[in-house]
Amino acid sequence: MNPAAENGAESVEEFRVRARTWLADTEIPVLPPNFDDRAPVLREWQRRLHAAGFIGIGWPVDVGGQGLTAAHTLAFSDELVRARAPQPVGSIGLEVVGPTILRYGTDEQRARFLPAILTGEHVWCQGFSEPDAGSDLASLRTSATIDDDTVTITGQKVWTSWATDADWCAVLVRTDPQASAHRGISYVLVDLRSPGVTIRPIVMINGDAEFNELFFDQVRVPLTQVLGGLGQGWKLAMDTLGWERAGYAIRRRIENEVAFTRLLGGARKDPSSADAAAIGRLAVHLRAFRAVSQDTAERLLRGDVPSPYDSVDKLLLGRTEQELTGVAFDLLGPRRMVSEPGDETWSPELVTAAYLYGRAASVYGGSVQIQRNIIAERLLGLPRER
Amino acid sequence: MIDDVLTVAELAAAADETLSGALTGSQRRLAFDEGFAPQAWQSVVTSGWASVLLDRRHGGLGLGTSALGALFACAGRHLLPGPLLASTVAAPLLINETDVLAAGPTGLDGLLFAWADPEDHGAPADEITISGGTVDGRVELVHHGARADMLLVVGTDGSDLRVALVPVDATGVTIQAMPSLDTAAGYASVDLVGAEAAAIAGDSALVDRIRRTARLMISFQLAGLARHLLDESVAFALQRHQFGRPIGSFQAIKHLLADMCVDVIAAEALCRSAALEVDAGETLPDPTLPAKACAAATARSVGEGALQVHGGIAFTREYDLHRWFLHALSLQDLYGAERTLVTTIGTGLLDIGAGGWQ
Repeated sequence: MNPAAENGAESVEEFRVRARTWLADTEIPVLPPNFDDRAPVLREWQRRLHAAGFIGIGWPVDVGGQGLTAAHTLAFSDELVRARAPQPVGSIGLEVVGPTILRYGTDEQRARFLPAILTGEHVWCQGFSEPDAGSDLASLRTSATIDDDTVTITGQKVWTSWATDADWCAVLVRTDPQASAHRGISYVLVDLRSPGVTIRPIVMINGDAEFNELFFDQVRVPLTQVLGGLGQGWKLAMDTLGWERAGYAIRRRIENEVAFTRLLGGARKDPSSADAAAIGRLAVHLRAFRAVSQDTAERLLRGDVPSPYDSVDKLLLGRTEQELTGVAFDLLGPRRMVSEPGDETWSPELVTAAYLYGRAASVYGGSVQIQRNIIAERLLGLPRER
Repeated sequence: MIDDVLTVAELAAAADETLSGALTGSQRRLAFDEGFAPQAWQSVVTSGWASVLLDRRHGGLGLGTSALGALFACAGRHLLPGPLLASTVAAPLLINETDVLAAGPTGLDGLLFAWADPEDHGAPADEITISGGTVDGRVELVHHGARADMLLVVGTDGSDLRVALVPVDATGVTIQAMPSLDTAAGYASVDLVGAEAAAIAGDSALVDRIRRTARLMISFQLAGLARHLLDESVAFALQRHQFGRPIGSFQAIKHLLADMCVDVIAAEALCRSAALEVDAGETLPDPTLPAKACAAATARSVGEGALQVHGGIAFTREYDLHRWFLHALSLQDLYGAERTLVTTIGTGLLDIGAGGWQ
């Protein structure tokens, strides 16, 4: 069933064919090996995608989107992965911050921020976690004092993805220290070029520098850049985390299946020494996750998000990713810890880096311990922690 | 009575209601203690379950594995004992594909079948030979063999696999119950010495289809057993109090139950997905292999988790929970142990001639 087709708009299948054709005819950008050189390539890619009508697929036409459905958006993500093309650099803006502005922004905020998200002119990041506020995000301490029409922010954020490539940041700050933890938080849109902002990349154990620390030293932000009104930050953040989780799980699953194909390619080079049972078991788990994803896609299309089933997805995603990267890692043999390049898709560097990143899958985006609590409490109805 | 205009969800809901009503009181105790409750069986299976896969031209509903799978899941949840595979899978598929209805005894209706296929527990089918209308050989672990009226025996005629319909009262047929801790298994050994078949039908293709469908139905049943074990564990954790609060408020228990829940959701989803593929004719690669591997592993681990959550009481005979777990253990290796299935899948994927990952 396709509601868009009922309106005379393009069906998902027609859209998919159009997308696939366009991707086949266009030059897919090759990402430079150096992390820092990637941003310009990715921005240019997003400009091209936007010009071709493949950005903001599910966004309303009146803000510059394509006015299609979530099913179309999922289909395009799928096609990008199949074409081995990078996801748009503005994915945080497009999939998390942008939808939040869409849902909770004033007309002025929507008009001001959304078009630039679509063109890729503004790339966004999120400043949520802090050194002392991870799983217990509501205890965050970055504070903001309000003075006439200005919000002044002082504090620190950590684990901000892609901050060095970003122009703007959606920051959760404490605007009311007297209120309860959840109620005193506001969601503020901050221009990262503002005086007082410092960004410090964090190099991870696999050599990536995706994450950053963000320091705010008396950063002045117009009050008009508070989204959803003062004290609404927690609600906004939780709402969008649900969408983020479900959409991310679907995308990441496709990426994992591509990774599994590469694993099979590597294993077939010496099939007799590969662990057939481990590979078969992994295949079963990938299939099971795919089956659950089909249910998730239907949930997304019904708008049944956020949901405790998002936590089921997150857990399953982490499990399969860790199993996948673990089996690949084992397959490499003792030379796995030698930093030497191998073939483009199967080398100790890539596979070991993927294994290490995979270990973080049970930590980021809500640790598995938190997800289990959510499943236990909200799906199974067991008593809350306190 | 099953109506063919019902959706799969409605079918499942109706089956749930029927089984809740049928498996109560003395029928429930008979089911537990004897491994079979005749009235419950009568009201449930012969009222429509056996017609789900049966073609319409034979008076059946002509539905697919998605519909029957929902019923097997229900059977798992309620621990309905009985020769489900024989009655709802083997017999209808036999009737659909052969003229055994005409050739066999009048009125297959009302007969209790038992499916005797050595390969369901990994023994070679050529242990049973079919020649000149008679059947020879031995097959064990035949579910409900000792209470059947008619055996459906898989054997070889020298060039192909066939299914022989052997009445249990034919000469040369010796059936012995094989006791088990799982009363619902109803295991029996069948010895056939020149036993005369009432009919011989089918071929390898039919036997393969029956086996594949059976494997998938067992998967649904295992998922249903697991779902019940999970539900019971959650209910127990809510009402069992220690240290002044329900044990379900302790994180260790919550996390164990959350993991069990995720496993059950995944197994159920994979069974449904596999059924859709089978019904759409997408059987290469065979989706019933991963479904079975997943469902079997899940029922085992969820059962073990259920014992853990319940604590000591789970290990007593007087508390019925263990019966679902024991039945999961009986069904675990039917048409493929997890280890064998994943090795088969993995070996297939490692074959350099094989295509990409589907």
